[in-house]
Amino acid sequence: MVRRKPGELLALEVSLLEVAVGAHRLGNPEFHGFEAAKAIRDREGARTLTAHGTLYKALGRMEAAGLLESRWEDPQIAAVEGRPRRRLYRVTGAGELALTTTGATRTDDRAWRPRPGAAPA
Amino acid sequence: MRQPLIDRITLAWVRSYTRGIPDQLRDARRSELESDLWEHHATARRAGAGANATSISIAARALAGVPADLTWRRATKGALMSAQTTTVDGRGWIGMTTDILAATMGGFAALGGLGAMIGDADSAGWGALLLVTGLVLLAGAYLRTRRPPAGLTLIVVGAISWSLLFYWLVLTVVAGAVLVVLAVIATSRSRRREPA
Repeated sequence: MVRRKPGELLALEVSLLEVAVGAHRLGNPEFHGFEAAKAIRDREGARTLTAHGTLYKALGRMEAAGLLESRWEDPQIAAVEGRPRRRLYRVTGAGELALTTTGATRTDDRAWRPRPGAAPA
Repeated sequence: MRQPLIDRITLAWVRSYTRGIPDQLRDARRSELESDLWEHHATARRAGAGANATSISIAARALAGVPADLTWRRATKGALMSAQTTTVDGRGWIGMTTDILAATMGGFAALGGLGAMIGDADSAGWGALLLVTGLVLLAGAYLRTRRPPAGLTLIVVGAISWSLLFYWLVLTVVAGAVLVVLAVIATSRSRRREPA
């Protein structure tokens, strides 16, 4: 069991917030789980993608803490594109603040690429 | 189009650890994983990655996430259980370690067995035994708190089989022995806590 101080962020949570803030800055604020895993891998030059359990547990925990919010996309969009529905996350004001507070923000947005077909907000 | 084998195994695991979770949370986790797998394959296809490499990557993500899946399940279920149920089911760190170790060894054995059966005709027999061992361990981890005698039996049988299949590796034999000891201790503790 990981014990941490209130407000302290785990490394994965910082990475997810960086991805979320990077996406927001590029005018495409929503992202889905796999997109985040891929962005973290590209950004950090890792060889592997974040594990399923680790990724979705962290996303759920961060949503419960108010750092991210999510919605399920319109099923018609998914049906037209012939794929399962995506759960789309976006950073909240509290999430941006938490990232700033950690002092770990990397200001460049490298490795974040809008997904194919995604329109800027 | 038929779903790739690794997707079916991963989704079967998701169905397994989300069983008994409230509908909304359960359906959300299952849908999110289905979407993730689809996106993984689509991205790999666009990048020109081979099907085998994608399957290995998905298997690695699924396996590495097993401990987080189990702790998520425990936390989700724990928040919903009454104090009495929590006491009966409260096995502490030994129970949790037993579940994680059995599930990790079981997942490794099941996937390794499948890989051996599919990839190497000479190893098909050994692969089948490894696959069965993995499934026995996974079933044991699943049943240990629900039906302690059956769960304990399956874990012990699976751990012995695991040790015999990897008898030339000291580490795996030790892991099998540790799992047996942990399972016995965890099961005896949970029995003592059951109300009269």
